[in-house]
Amino acid sequence: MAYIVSSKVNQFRYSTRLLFSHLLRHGRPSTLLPPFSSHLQPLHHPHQVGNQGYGNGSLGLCPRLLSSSSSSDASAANVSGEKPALDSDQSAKDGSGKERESGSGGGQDQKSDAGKSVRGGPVSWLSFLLLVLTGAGLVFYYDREKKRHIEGIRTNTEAVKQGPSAGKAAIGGPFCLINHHGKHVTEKDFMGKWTLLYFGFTHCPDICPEELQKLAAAVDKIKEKAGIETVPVFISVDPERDTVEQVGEYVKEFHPKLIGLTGSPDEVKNVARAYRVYYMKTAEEDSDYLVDHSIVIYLMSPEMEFVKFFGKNNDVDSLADGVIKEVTQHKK
Amino acid sequence: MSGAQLQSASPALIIQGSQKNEGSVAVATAAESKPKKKICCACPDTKRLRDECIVEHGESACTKWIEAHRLCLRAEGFNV
Repeated sequence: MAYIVSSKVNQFRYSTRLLFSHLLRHGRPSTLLPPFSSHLQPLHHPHQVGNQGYGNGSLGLCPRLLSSSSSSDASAANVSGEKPALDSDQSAKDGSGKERESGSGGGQDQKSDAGKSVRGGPVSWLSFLLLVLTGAGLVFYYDREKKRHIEGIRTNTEAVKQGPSAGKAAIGGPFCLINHHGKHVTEKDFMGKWTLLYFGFTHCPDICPEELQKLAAAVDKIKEKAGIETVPVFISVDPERDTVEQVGEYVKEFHPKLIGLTGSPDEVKNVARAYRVYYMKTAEEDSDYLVDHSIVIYLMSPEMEFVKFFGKNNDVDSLADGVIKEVTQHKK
Repeated sequence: MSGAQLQSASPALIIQGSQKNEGSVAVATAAESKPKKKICCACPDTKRLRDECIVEHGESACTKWIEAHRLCLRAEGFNV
């Protein structure tokens, strides 16, 4: 009897302790009710059995405790991360008496509750975050690809436009410069003839001579192929250093028909703006600076209207053929 | 001044000769050229884009390409 009474008291104490530990850990009214109610039922039964004073009653307690512990085992097994603890609990049960059994059972309840809380909130929160990030990534990628595609279409459109020279640019206008003979000339002096304009500077290390050689060769080839007279013109974008004498010496090297033009800085700026030529001096200390400028050859009609421009990519043949084609079309 | 020109001409001849440029004779006889990397041939891609844009749309509409080419020239070592 004394043994039975002491075991009952110990069970009651363990249950109370577990209840308080649950309360402290969770601290939520909603979560308190289920474990409280679950613990109340087994608490009443031992009291009733004690009051009756039957030995069979004490035997009846064991199956209930075992069933409750087995149910907690099943709930703990659902949590994949709890398996090692479960094994250790089972070994503890085998080695310990009734007091240990009730204590370990409570521990399993705690673990199962903790597992439930872990499964609920953070998992759904993480999945939601992952979904948002994936969606944002897809939207961003699609938007970027769309813009790239549009840019590609525009680039192709521009490339196609340059071919037939549709929609001529507003290039050309009046100018007043000095030729390499020291005479003042304006755009009117070039009317009546097809003109090929090139903008460069005499101190150009490499590309200007190549372009001027190309221009000179094209002039000869155009005359040879189609009997068309064209006037090559070199306009300097380096007014500080390209004097009349300097330009004269320079153009003489390329073609006897090549006309060199220079002028004051303001006049050169005006003609460059009118003909949409970009030029800029490098910031060198001495007077041996370089000039970064557009590399284009303009074909101007006998009315000194812009017809077509040729870039650095055109060689002598493509330049000559392009000019002949434009002249032929213009005459029609 | 003429002495300075002569001095600058001789390294140009050497450089042009070493580079085996077709226009070396014309360049050497026409005018002195500075022995430095050629600004006209630097950054051909951005230069072509800039030139074509300026011809088509005007300089005011092509500040983006002008700045891109300028940055490329600075990367190449030019003082622009």
